[in-house]
Amino acid sequence: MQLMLTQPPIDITTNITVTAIFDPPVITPGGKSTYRVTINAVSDSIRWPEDILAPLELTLRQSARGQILQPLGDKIRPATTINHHVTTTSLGTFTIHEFKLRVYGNPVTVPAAQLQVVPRLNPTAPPPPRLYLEIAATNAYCGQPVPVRVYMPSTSGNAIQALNQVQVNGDGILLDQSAVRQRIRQMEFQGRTGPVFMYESTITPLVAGRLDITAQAFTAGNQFTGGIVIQGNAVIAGGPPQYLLLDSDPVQLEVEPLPRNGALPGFTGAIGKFTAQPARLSADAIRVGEMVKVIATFESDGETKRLLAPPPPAVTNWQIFPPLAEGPILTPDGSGGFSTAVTFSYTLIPLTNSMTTTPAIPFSYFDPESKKYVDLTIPALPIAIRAGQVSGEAQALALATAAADPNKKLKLSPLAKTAGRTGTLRPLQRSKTFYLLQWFPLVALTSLWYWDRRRRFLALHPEIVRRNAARRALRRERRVLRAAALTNDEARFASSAVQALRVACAPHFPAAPDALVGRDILEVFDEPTRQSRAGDMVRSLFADVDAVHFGAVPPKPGAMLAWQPELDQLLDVLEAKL
Amino acid sequence: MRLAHTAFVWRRIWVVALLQFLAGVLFSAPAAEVTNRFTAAQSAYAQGEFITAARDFATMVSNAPSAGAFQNLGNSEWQSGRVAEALLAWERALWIDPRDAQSRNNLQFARETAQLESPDLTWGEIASTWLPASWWAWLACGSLWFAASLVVLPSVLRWRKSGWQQALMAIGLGVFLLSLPANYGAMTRTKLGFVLQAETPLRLTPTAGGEAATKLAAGEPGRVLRGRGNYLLIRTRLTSGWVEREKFGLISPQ
Repeated sequence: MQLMLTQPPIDITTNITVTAIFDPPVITPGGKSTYRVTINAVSDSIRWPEDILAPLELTLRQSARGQILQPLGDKIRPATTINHHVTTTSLGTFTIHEFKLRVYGNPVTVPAAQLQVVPRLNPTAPPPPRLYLEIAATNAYCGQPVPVRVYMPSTSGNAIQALNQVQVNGDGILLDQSAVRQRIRQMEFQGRTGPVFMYESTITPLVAGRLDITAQAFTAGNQFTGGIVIQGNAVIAGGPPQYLLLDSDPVQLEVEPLPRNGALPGFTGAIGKFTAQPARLSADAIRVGEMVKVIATFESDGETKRLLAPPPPAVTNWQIFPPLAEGPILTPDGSGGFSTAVTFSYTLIPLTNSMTTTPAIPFSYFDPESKKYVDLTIPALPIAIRAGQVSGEAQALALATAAADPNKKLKLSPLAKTAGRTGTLRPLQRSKTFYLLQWFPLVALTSLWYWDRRRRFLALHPEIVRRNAARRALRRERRVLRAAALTNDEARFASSAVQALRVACAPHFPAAPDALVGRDILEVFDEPTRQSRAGDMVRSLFADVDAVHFGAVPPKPGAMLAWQPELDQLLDVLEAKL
Repeated sequence: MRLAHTAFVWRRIWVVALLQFLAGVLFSAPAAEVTNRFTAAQSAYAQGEFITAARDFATMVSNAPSAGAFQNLGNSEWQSGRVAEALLAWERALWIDPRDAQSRNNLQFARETAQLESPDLTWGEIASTWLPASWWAWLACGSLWFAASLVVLPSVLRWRKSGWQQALMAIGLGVFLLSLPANYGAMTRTKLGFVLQAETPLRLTPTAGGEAATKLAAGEPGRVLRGRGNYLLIRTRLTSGWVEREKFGLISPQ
């Protein structure tokens, strides 16, 4: 916030001024001019039309768009420039008429501009400032650093300007801003000898295919940014700079992917031409648990900003730490170029004294000239290891490393050949039916347990079983008794009555019902009952039954059925006693 | 007597033949259809038509979930660039068959490739991954009722009490008690899921206009705490918040 407050504000309140020119305003048929529109507004606020109404003889192509901020008193004034390349083969005067566009939401008029196409140019007219892009190689591989140079030759005399906001544009490339060098050099360029402003950097293509690459920059007069080397005579004009947006013609770069065949272990993306200095050790003899460094230096032709160290190999008897890199160190090669040297140091700790060499560390690079991967493995170096103490962690690491399979690399498995095990994604634990099912074994086991408990109880109390059985038998006999009474079957009535009395009295002795006689039945009752009419009835019933079975004289008809009311009362008493 | 026995044998043969015919009519046609669809999806995958293969395998698993179909669905989704859907399919394959080594390998491969973390599991949840989730339920109820029947049945059947009965009962009870954490883990694992869309906002409130606390990557694991309307309150490794239901896929759909 403090930083924002201390920055001068950007001026967006001044009236918008728009200029539109052709640069140069006069060309020959087939020549090229730049239709340049400059607006003092920030770039994002300008709604530039997709098509500009131009004479049919002119071919327009938008080539660059840039914004520069110029300090103006206590404010910063933005200026946005939009360039179109214009070509034509017709002679004449062509005008792009004024048109309107919206800036900060308000309509603004772009003034008309005129281009003359003449058969021959005035040879004394100074050439307009132009930008040229040169790429060191027109064919490259993905990931291969490619040097680029942006040139701006002097216009008249030896006057030269600085360039500001140099951009290398194109889809799928990465510009290395840390590898920028600027210089002004006396040289022959485009048939003229004079000072040339050179901007050098490196681009890295990231995608395969044909890439169109252009450069754009603002002229900045004598305001240089960053370090610059000036060689030879050059006139640098004073005064405030005139910020002109220049852009180059597109240059095509054919990018191929790296071949998959022939890849070697230890490839970390290094593309170019590398050589290895002999690797060396920090010590020739160490003890187990002490550290030693393997130092390896790789050199490359040209400027290599990024060189990833090969990963240390997975070995069992060494503990190897990730490597440290020193460099890159640039060294002029005498031909105007550079060579780069990068040094990697690996720290190793022996875990046993059974080794006589350090492990080899695979490293390889891709040579774009021979189109092959080249092996540059750091070789195994002889070393003497004496016995010593090793920490518990190191021993555990050695065991763990030995247990791990270094060749195992995960990859996507092939398709399953069959559908395999089927199932449901909703587990039984969340199913109500599953919990309801548990009631079945619960009820079954509980019932079994209760039944067994009752059975054991009854085994200990047989009189209950007898009484229950007697009660059931008594009810059965009473039903027969009532049926016999209804049908006036005196013989059946008498036998059922006697049997009912026997069944009802048997549990009191206990005895089998058929074994009881009339006197046994009477013993169940108290003395007053025995002497009462009930006693008489019992005696009479037994006597009548005996008479029916054994006697010659049958009982008087209707006598037994007459006992039914008293018999029912007596059986109720006996049933209550059960 | 001999004639009666022969008639009984013939009657039994007829019944068995009839049952086999009915089983063939009822089950062979759907099985053949499933096999054909599986083969067609495999062919589409082999020809590089991964989206078609994924659609076919998805149809299969919606009709009859199986570990192989889920594994192949995961492969197809992965090849189509749908990382989260692939992770979800492989997790579901492991849910059905925890011994599916290929799905386990694919999950490890995908997480290493896409730099994604696996969900944090409690020890009960880890135990629940040793067997299919429903097997734990059957193991728990089977061991419980086995132990209970060894308490009741010897008395009912008038068996003499012996050491082996008590040992078996103790084993059954022990298995039941030991399976309880795994059962609980299987239940809590149903709350696990993955973010399906990249840059899914994790909101502070269950509303469309709720402030986004952070944005989640596709395939990031989370645990559902509760739901409200169209939103789920999930807990990720670092924070918790609300996500839209359709942007979060549960391993075990509710």
